Amino acid sequence: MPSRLILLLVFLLGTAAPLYAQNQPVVLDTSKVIPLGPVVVTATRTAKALEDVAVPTTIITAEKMEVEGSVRLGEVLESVTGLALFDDHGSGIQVQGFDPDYTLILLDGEPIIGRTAGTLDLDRLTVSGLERVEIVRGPSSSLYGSEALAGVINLVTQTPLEGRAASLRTRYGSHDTADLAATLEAGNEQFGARVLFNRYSSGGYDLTPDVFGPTTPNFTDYTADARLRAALSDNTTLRFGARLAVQDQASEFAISAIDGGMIPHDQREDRTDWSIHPEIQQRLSRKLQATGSLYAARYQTGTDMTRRDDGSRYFTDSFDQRYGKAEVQLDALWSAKHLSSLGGGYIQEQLGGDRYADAEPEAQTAFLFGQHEWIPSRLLTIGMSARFDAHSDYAARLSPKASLLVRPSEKLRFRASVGSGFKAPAFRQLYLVFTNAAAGYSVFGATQVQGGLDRLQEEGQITEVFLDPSTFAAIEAESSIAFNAGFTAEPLDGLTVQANGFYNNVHDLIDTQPVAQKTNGSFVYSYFNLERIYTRGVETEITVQPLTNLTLTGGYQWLQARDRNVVDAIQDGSVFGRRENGRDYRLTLSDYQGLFGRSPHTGTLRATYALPEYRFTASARARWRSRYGYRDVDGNNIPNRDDEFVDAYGVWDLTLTKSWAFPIVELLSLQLGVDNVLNVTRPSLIPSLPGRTLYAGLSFQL
Amino acid sequence: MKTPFRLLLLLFAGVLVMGCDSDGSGDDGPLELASINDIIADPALGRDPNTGAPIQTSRYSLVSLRTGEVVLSYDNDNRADSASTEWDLGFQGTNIIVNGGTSGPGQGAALLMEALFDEVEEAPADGELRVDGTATCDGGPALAICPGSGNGWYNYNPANNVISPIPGRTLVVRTADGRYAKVRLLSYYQGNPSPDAITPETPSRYYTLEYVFQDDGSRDLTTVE
Repeated sequence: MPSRLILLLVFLLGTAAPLYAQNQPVVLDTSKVIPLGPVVVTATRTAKALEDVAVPTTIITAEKMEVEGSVRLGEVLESVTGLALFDDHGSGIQVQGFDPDYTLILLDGEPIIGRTAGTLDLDRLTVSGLERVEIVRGPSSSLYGSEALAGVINLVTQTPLEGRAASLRTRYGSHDTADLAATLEAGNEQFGARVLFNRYSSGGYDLTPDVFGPTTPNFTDYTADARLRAALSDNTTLRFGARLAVQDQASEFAISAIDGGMIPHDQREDRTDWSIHPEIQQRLSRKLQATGSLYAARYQTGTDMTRRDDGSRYFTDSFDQRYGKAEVQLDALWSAKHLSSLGGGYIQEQLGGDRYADAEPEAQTAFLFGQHEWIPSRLLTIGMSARFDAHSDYAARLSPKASLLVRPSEKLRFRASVGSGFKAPAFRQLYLVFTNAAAGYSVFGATQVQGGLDRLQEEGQITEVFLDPSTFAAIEAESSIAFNAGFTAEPLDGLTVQANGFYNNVHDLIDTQPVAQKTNGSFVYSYFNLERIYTRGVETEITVQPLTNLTLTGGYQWLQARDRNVVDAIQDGSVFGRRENGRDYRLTLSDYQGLFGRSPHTGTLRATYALPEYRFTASARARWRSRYGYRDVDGNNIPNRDDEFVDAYGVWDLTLTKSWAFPIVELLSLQLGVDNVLNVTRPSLIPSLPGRTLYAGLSFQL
Repeated sequence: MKTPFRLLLLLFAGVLVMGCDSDGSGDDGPLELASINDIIADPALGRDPNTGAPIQTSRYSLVSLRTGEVVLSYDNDNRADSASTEWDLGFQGTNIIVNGGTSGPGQGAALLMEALFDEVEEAPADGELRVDGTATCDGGPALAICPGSGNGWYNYNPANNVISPIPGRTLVVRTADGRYAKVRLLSYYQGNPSPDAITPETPSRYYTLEYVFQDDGSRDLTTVE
């Protein structure tokens, strides 16, 4: 494994790894039998040993994903301490108490596009072909810009190795869920190629049989992926990645008729997204390396709802997003104590689809970032980075970050960082031109409100303008200042303790506000920087190896995510609740659990029992979350009553894997798994919790 | 069915108080809580398919706090009575007006206070009360009780389209004839259902409220629950 990793590293980063090795002579010390730890790239945009990264970083290897039977990214992330899945237009991820909008998701360092209501659906993404998933918590906008406010999740693909290999993985389980993944790869020292084909489908399921229509729809999802590498010369490495994913979804629902009956409707959704990513790495001198990359991506969806009896159209919607980026990065190793990176680039985005048809908006971002790492001694690593983003439609941003790693001994590391994160206004917040024909109100994005309001006024649809758009300040990105501090300690062999405390102070969150009233009585809304929140908490994890074959990991997170305006109002004594008996009462701060969807306490447990000589692994995982608010009943817009919470719940998953080695088939594996052993469901509250599911998988490696 | 009796009692008490006004005694104890159920406030009959505007009469149902009765209903198109001082509050959709300023000929004014009903023991000074037409609202028309979700008496929940009275809001009203009252809004839905039971089919624009009416002209609004 170690030598393989080093090899990979060399391929992956051209010359960066040797530079790094010179930088850290310790890792070449052959007297140490301790394997060279895993290498990560997300936290600093350069390869670095995980243990030497100064910001909280978690890594999930392909091996672990295999042993735990994960096929989609959501399953991988939900078992990580401190991360929680959240259903809102797809399965999104909460990092440090933030909504899914605030975590950047990358494929080999480039952003995956396509969000619905801010959520990038993690079930879109197969884990086939990945070498590892890196999770960086806390803001990384100083390197990645927008969206890297809560954290960054980077899917790192396997680099095509030397030699030839093929693999086939199949799996079938409850609800007709099937996953098929085939890979082919071939390569020599100079070139390598790897192609992947994945088909993932489900028959959907229905947790609420008394309601017409399934809880989750049936779908079929295809992913094709190709990765190439070519060493054009000793100093030049070319890499190329391409991916195409297509999904079809079918569902049904009913709307009530005036006579009280139900009218069945069919719903079809389709999605196509692709990306291409060529990258060239050029060693300029022993101390200097340049990387140039191009990235293009497109994401298209269509929704079609038709009435079943006559096929008439009930609703249709389409969305089309295009993203293009050109970027260069220069890495310089000045000496064993100084490492710098400097980069810059340009992003072009374009939107189409029904809700943006009038404007066909286009946006440009130019950015520049720099990073310097100073290692005065083995005891200390000091990192500084900053990025400047200039966008065509919102105010320019500077995002700095500083970090510190202290190593009093090989067994103890302290980490601290302070940084700023930001999230660009979402497309709808900038460009939406939308009138709800049924309800009569209109919503305009910040760049469209002047024109939209002028038009409505000319048409005589406005009775009163409350706020004059010509006086509006330019909308700003939502931004944060965050602190992270923690440690990793190995007090005994086989015992690792980690903890990280975080505090994120977020301001300029964007919300709607009425700007005018229409003659039909409805309002015209636009978007403004209004809200402030904070999240704070502690993530801890303990790993022990009581037996050589058994590894136990326990994790716990305490979280508080609160709206600062609500906290202020509670302290002013102006927030009240209404009890079930209709009486009102004044809330105190302890009555306020915080934002919807956040559990103050979450925990994970993981036990892995491996018998390498028998090629057998058993894995059991549990995740638990305390209750969280999901609705408001008593009109104060915050969860405070018991009937406004989803009860606490825990889910256990089990997997057994047995492999055999043969002369031709290098490895044949059989896997049996049970997800949600205790059959926990919250039918109408958590649609993504299907109850107990069983699966069996078979995979071959040639 | 108890309410009219209570009101009669209240009126009777009022007459008694007026009858023996000479010593100005205020020791007649806390005020009696009254309620008005299902004030029908111009329910929408549908939506205009072209503009999305609700099909409605846009007329107010006018209510007297003294009698607890609807003086003029939204479905009566003879609006002559609206120019009287017989009513104190008007309801249409989510809008509430007072009988004063630009809305009526009376002395009506109001202030929506961020306080529990029982905590409001005295009506604020007249200078603090707001009058339709001269009061200012952040981003809205000039009304004593500001319209719009979160601005006035209600919050609109876009997740389920439910309008809920904001808890802990007490509406102090100066009536058309210069008396004081305090009002707590309980529901916007027919039959004052439990918030849990409200569905998209539940008829809306039906106000249920509880209140006390101080007939002696003082600002004293002391109640016990």
